[in-house]
Amino acid sequence: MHPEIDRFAHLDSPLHRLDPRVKIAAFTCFLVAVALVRGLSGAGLALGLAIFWLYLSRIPLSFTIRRLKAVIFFLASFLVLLPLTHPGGWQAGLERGGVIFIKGLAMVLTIIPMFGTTPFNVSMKALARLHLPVRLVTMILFAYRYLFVFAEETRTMQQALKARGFKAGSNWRTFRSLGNLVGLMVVRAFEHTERIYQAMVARGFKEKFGTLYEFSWGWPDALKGAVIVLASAGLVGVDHLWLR
Amino acid sequence: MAAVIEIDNLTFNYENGTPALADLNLTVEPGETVVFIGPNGAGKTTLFLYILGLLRQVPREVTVLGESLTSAQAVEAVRGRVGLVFQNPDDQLFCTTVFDDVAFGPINQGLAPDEVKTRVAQSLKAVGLSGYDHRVPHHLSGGEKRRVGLATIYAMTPEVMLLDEPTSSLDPRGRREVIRLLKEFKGTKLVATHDFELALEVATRVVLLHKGRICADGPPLEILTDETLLKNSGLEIPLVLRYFLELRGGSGEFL
Repeated sequence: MHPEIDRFAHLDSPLHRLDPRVKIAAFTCFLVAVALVRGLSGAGLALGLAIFWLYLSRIPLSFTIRRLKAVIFFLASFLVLLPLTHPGGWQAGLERGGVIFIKGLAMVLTIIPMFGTTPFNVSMKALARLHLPVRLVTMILFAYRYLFVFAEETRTMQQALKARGFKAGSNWRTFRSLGNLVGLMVVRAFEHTERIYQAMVARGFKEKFGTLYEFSWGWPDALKGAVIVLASAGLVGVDHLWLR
Repeated sequence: MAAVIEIDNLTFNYENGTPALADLNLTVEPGETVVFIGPNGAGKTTLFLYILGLLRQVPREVTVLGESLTSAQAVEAVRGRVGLVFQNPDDQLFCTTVFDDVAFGPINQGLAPDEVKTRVAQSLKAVGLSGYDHRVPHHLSGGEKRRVGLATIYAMTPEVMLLDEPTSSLDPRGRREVIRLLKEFKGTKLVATHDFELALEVATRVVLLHKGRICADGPPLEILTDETLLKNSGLEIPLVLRYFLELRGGSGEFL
């Protein structure tokens, strides 16, 4: 499985052509609007809009479904737990669980076109231009860059365990072996960090990540951004005024 | 002409007290390719990091390109003129695209955007990777990563290059390509390696390090074929080189 969120950033769609800064700002409004939705019908409307954004992005459905499996598994836990624990009874719990499930799904479905229609590094530069703290953006960039390196190292270490006859089970030996593996990964990560910092300093790094990326936006960007923001405001308004 | 690098009586211990470099004196002349050999832990990498002030902010024992590194400003100034290629390309390539990585140094040098773009294009062309600008480092092969690593340093147009194990973990073709690129770079080079064939191909001088001390310093063939010297330093002559020496009666004339 390809782990990258920006695997389809090279496609052409109205969202791909949208200025990354406008895209992130407008979809952030939409995510906030989804969070503010309270009723089941409003959540359904949010999910419908999220599916529309996804459709506009032309990101293949198969890619999205693969990403959703783990999310659905996590969100489904609310559908199971809330009917059993809600003070208003199982029906109220089921409705609450349903709202959380649908809102969560709508948010994840929005994040996919939000970050999947722009190369990841450009999205991060857009976040920096939107005045997100530079250190935070740099940390996200490093996390993304080295995720693959550590995934590879973890795979190698797991193979080394298996090669010496290790079989995972619910026993003390398994926990100890996996604990050692995690500990070793932390030590290696620390050593990596030191060397990366040395490599950066050796090439003149002075606390600031420079970039040459030139953002440009025009009326089409403003229009598309306004549509997303208006849809967000409309979602909150409809949910609060009519759908409760 | 003034020496490119001068090291005067350098002794360095790690924070936990482990001795890393001891009584080290070295002078590197312009245009030399000095290859450092030695077993693991001999101090080769430490020496390179020390020269660039990456282990101690002010490496007072070191003079680079006529500049005594007696202040943090002097060290910073010299970093733009001395490029360091790390052993593991994943340490060297920390950006999410090849373009960003190669442009990182020139941007820090304060160059204009057009000049940065020109440097990136020229450097990638020099390492045979034109058009790789938007590739992500984790999708590159080991050889490609190594060449991008070289491009990140070329782009800064250094006068001196320090290369730490530039051929380790490479297949024969990747290794050959890196050796070709090293030969093409006309500046002064310091190379740390276990690869004796690389040393024979590129070195004008070989320095043997053992336990942080210089055990020998001289012509490549003289040092790389001295079995006793190498054995005493925890090294040995590679089998192929040994066979050739035996075929030639130990004279090394084939070289």
